[in-house]
Amino acid sequence: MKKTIPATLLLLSLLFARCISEINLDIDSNRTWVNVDGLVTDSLQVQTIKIKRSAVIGVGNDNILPPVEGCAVKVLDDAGQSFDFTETEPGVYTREMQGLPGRAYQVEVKMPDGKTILSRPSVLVEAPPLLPITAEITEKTIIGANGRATTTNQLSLGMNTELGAVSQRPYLRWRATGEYEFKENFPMALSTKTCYIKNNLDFNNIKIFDPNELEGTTLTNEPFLNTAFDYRFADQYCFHLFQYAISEEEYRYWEQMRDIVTIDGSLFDPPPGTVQGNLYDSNDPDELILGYFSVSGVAYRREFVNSNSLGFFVEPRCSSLSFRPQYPDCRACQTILFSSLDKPVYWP
Amino acid sequence: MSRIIFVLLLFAFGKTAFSQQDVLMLGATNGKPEEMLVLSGRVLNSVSSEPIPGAVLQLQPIGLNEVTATDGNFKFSIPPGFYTLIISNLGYEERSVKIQILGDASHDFMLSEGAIELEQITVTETRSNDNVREVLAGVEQLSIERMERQAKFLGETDVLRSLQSVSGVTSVGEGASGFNVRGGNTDENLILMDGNLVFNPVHALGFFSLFHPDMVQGVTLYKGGVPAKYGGRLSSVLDVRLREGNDQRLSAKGGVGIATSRLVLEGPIVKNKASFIVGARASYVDWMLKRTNNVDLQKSQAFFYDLTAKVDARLTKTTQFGLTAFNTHDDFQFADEVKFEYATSSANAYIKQLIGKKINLTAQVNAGEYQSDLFDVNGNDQSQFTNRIGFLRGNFGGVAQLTKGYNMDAGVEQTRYRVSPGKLAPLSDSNVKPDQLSDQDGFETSFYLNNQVAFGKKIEVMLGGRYTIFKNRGPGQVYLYEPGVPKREQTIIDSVSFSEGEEIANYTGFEPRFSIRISTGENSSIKGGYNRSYQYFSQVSNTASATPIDIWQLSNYHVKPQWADNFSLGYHHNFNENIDQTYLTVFYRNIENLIDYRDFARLLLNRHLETELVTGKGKAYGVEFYLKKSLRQHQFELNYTYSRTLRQVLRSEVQAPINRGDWYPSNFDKPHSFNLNYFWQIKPKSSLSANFTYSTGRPTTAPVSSFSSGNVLTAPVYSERNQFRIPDYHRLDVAYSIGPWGKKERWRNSLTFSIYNLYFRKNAFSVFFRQNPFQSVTAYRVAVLGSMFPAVTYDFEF
Repeated sequence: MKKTIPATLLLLSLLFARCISEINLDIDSNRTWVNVDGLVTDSLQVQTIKIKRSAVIGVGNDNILPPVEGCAVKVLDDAGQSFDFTETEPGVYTREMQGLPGRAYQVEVKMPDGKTILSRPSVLVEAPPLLPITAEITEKTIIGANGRATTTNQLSLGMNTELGAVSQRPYLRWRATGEYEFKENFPMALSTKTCYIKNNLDFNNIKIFDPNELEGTTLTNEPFLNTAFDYRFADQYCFHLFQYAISEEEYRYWEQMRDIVTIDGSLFDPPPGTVQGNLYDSNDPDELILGYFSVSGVAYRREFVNSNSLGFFVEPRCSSLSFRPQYPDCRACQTILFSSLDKPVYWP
Repeated sequence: MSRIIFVLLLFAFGKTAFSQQDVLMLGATNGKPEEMLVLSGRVLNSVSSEPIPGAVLQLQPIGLNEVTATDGNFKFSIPPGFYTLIISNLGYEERSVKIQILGDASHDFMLSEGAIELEQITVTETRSNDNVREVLAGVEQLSIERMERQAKFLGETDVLRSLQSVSGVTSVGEGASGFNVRGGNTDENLILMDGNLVFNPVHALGFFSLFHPDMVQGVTLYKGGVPAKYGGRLSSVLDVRLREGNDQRLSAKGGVGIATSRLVLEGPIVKNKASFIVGARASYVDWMLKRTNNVDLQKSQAFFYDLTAKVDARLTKTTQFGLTAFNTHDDFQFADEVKFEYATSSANAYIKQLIGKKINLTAQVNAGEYQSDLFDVNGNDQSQFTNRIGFLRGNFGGVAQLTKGYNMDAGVEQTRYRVSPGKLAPLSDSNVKPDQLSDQDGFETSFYLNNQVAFGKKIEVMLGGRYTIFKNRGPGQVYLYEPGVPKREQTIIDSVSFSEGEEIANYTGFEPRFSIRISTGENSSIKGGYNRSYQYFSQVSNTASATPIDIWQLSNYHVKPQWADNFSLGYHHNFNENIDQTYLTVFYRNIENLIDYRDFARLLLNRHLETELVTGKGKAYGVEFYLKKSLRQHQFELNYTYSRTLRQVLRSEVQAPINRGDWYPSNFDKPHSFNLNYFWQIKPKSSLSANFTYSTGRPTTAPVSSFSSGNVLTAPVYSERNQFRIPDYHRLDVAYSIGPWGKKERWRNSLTFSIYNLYFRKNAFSVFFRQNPFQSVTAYRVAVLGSMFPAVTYDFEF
């Protein structure tokens, strides 16, 4: 009897421990599509349009998309102006320009094979200004498969903005990059360096907002980003925040993009679909053109935070007093990816 | 004069008394000895009063033979006179009764269980040729005996699992709610349990059906020809009949398994006149999960119960009354991933009145409700989403035998549906805002007439029709859209409000029903059939499989009713005195106003659901083959179905096409489906059964390419809808049963050892795709039961 109960429980666990395993579907497809990824804003800067082809999944290095070289790329506005872009790297077309609020823009790409790809014209809308962000430290408990709970501190950022500051309440999209100060330190150190390391925060992080969901005009503490509160915040951490005023069509596009990159494979997931943006082949409107040509007003804000400003102590990665083994980068911070010894001009 | 009367009475009673000893007189004389008379009735177990299917009745000296049907019924057509009726069945003592037939009569005969010699045991049971003589094409009768011969999951006989061994019936896979018939969706099956409408027939994500196995008498599936009295669904009718309680003595039956236990109590209310039967079943997986070491399992739930009760009473010799009620409840949670609950309550009362000998009237009332709740149990968005469908239906109809060989039945049916399509409520300190969609009201009225005429012995025709009227009534709000462009939230130009009871939409439909049987020999026939059906509500779901939490949508101003034309043609042939049976059937179905979903459809709490739906047409066609063969103690049942089920959504002013308007496979298109059931009666009290099942993997939409956009470096490009297939499904189950043992009329026990998925096949319930940073999408397979699953069940009866 003593053996029976564990055996029964084992059997039950078989029932409920779903078996998930990787499989190869017999997919016989070599089809690829043109992929246009472009952005024009009302900020005077180098605007970039990338033209690639999609990659066949499972063939070669399928996360690296082959560029399409030799295209003639121009942006047209509704006042009849044309802005030619130059290919500065394979498949990357750039030009310094500044879009004007209220004016409609579209991209025209003449492909080497003679096809012409157009985007539907989109009116550039002014972005409302960003207000200071809300930063909070929260505890996150994760229970492992062994049943042990691990608690970590998380930094949660909330966006604040005043939509009443612009004449037309636009749909919003937020993006962010980060940068932090990294001080070398090790026992018996004679001299130490300080590195400034760029930190990609928004990979696959699609944050959009529908103004119709807002009562009033002030958006407060809209959840934007969660990241581990760790040594990066021991000294200064700089957030570069971008708020884009996008069209409703673009909002729907990012909504669907979010759906396809966050599918988690639950039993009740809806079947996936392919996201179509605002691009089309002028000779064959049914042909799928991937990507989006975005026309956006942009607002920018820079915010510094650290453990002092947040009121939460966090141990630096490198400390001459630490009993922990030292990390190699505590002696050579340049070895960290995206690090630089040049102090940015805006750094305090 | 009084002396004469006295002598006559003495003679009459004296004769009766004498007859009761030697000759059973049946029927009242009609003075027309040249007319053929009908002797009908049932053969029942003398102890439990349960019907005995397959019992052989021999009528001597004229040499007529009959075999009882699944409900124990038999019928002879004979001239008046004296006969000897010999009734026999495997495991019962043979009985010989002398009878005199004076007029049309109905009588039940009891058989006592008898000792069985080993030498007598064969499984070459005798069967009737009902399957050949039945006028309707595509009708499957499953007796509880047939279901019990199949290997059992967790030791339980299960109606829906058994049904999937029938040609043309498939399921999306383990963990799927419902079943698909001839390529139809799960919501296209009308499911009735003793007259109760059932919306979700499963427990525990489809691992068990909600029909209590010890209460089921038999199951009829109409997948081709459908009698006119049934309607409202496009694909099939599943009629599950519960048995009546024992009206002789109190008895009990039950079973204890590793995950569930069940009990049935039955007995007389008034001996010989009224009986009850009550069944309960519950799982206790929950209790065990809490005692595991795995945190995910500790947080999981898999509890269900069902309660079913039935009362039958013969109020007079010609009046019968019955009431069936049931209540079921399911709680299911897997870790912090998914949690839902669902429950069904329903009650059905009927009264049957025999008028004369040839008219039988039935009135029936059925009320019930199905409710499901989906819980978000994670983070700050904890919430409960509820949807519900309630109904009240009544019908009145009658069957009349107008002349010999001509039966007519007619009736009227009215159903009111009340759908609550969605209510969202926050839980605890949730950030979720409460929301609720307004209820929908629908009234479906149907009139039907059916004629069944036999032209001699060779040809029999059923011709009838059903006329339905559906009204969608207020309160409600209808959105009006900009003409000439796809319906989207952004193209709403106005809305119209309707007050309580105000008509929003009105649809009617005529459904012709036709079946013909042409006998090509004593044991063979060709059957053909055509029927049309309208369906005024649908299960709205864009997941690959139906789930217990799918919402229901009535036809309304924007959503038109779906309708289907079904054609079937089959050849049936029995061999070896009906012991061996085979058929080959081809079918074709055409569906109009078929509902599908645009990509990225959002269905929950959507006030303008029509913007997420697209309308198209569908077709399903195929061929079904069935063979049953018995070789002494061994019995084989084999069925194979080739079928396709396809859809087409064309571009129109108000919708974008799917797959450029080409035909594409539906989610449950499984071209090849094969089942082999094997049963071996090793000894009188032990048997072995094995079931092998195979079907083509169902279609799926898969990523074929990847692209980048903004800060998304690799996003998948999916194929056109359903262009690929998940791996094929196959599985082998075996079961070994011992028993019953124990003294007759006291405790009787049996044990079943079963192994589900004997060779550890990881059948994919679904295939999904995950993407890790800087990597392309990878396909994963979810096998809900990806392992071999042994079980032991103890059954008892007293």
